Amino acid sequence: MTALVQFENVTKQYGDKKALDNVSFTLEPGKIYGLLGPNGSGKSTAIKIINDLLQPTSGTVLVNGLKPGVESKKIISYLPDRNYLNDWMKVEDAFKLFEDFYEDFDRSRAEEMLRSLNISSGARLKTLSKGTLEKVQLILIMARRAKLYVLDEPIAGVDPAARDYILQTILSNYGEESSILISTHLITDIEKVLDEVLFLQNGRIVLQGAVDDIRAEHGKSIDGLFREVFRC
Amino acid sequence: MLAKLLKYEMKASARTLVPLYIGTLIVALVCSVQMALFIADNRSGFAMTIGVFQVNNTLTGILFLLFFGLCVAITVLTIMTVIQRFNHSLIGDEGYLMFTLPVTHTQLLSSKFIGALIWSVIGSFVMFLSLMIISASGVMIGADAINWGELWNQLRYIIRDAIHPMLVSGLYAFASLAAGILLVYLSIMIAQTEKLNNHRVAAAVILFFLLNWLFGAVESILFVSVGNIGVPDGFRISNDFMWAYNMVMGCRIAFEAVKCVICFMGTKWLMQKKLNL
Repeated sequence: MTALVQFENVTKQYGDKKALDNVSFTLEPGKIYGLLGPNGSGKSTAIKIINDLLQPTSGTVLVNGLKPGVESKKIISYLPDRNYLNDWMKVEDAFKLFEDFYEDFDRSRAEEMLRSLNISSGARLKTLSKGTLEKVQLILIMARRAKLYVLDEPIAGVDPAARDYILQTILSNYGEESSILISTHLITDIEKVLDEVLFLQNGRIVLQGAVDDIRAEHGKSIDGLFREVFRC
Repeated sequence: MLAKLLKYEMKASARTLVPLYIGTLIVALVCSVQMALFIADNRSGFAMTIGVFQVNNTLTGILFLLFFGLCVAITVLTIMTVIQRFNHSLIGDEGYLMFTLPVTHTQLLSSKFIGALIWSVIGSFVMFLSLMIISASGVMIGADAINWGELWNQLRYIIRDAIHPMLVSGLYAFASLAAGILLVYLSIMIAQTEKLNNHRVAAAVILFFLLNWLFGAVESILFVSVGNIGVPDGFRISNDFMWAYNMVMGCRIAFEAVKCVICFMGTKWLMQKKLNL
């Protein structure tokens, strides 16, 4: 089976600084991956390279067997860690935009999630709070029937009560053939949903494997291990 | 996909520009009515009443000032919108959405470029239409004094003699506009690269003037060469103005087209290889 994402000896250099240093990993279909690491560890760089927002300095990146480009963008649903919607839009305009550009966008699924979160489809984006805006973006992303969901800090801006709903939304909206790559600092909240983790430090992968194996091997939760590995 | 991108591009800019264009047309209409009243008052002798004359004069002055202010606003705001749309939607946070849509970089850039061209043409048309509306009042009021047959004859001669240079000049203006827009895009894209990223705005402004100067210098060198090599001896003797005009303008349009290609390809390459969101 073709790997969804394949990084082979990928390096990304900004001047003298290496944001990613000879990184190799593979993401398989049907799993939830946690991309964990402190600030500046290279998580966002890796995510941007997967999404064709950055070019690696060296190494090979393949998404579903192809170089990142138009075809890979059709199968990746990407949630960045910022508001990327134009604030003149209403929620329904954003839905229309996704419907126009992504064949796999499921409008009814999006509307259902919107109702569950009590957000009006006629609401203007600029009138929404930061947390609600993040929920709208998450709805847009998860309403796609994508092969790979790349979520950069999906729960950072929402209240704890909404986190469970969002995690539940993520879990219930991805199919068996799909994978999710979540980058976050809030490990306690997402640990229970992760199948595998990649620990990044100074642009290098320092730990990689199945969550259950890592827990058994180190006798600690992923959160506990994260605090130990990345202690300041 | 290009049509869809263009639709969203036009919608996003329309919010700023359409109200401005409508406002300008309304002010032009008010100016026109005011001018018609002014002319009518003058002809009836009513304006000789000093108070009415002064009020008319002041009002007409204010309206014309307002109208020309709006024309300046159209020009400035259209330019600002073109720059802002490119900057915000591709280099700003919105870029995270635009560059992850399943479209090519050529389609993305073309949608911005075509959108900018359309708004520039609409803006110019609105200013032209506004001037026509203002002029119309004078024509309507003085209609009975105009010899329409003579006017039409004069216009026919003007159109016959001027249509060719007007079309060529129009084409050159359009090519210059297109090259100008793409030069702005190229400057912004170079300014967002890693080394200049910390001073994006200043770098983009300096780059724009620098590149403009560079293209100007190349154009001058080429023109001197064409002047020395390409002009046949017969021309210098015959002094055929139209021939010279066509040749000069043809070269200038071709140069603008080459500028467009260079700027478009350069911007696209930077988008693909040096994007730094």
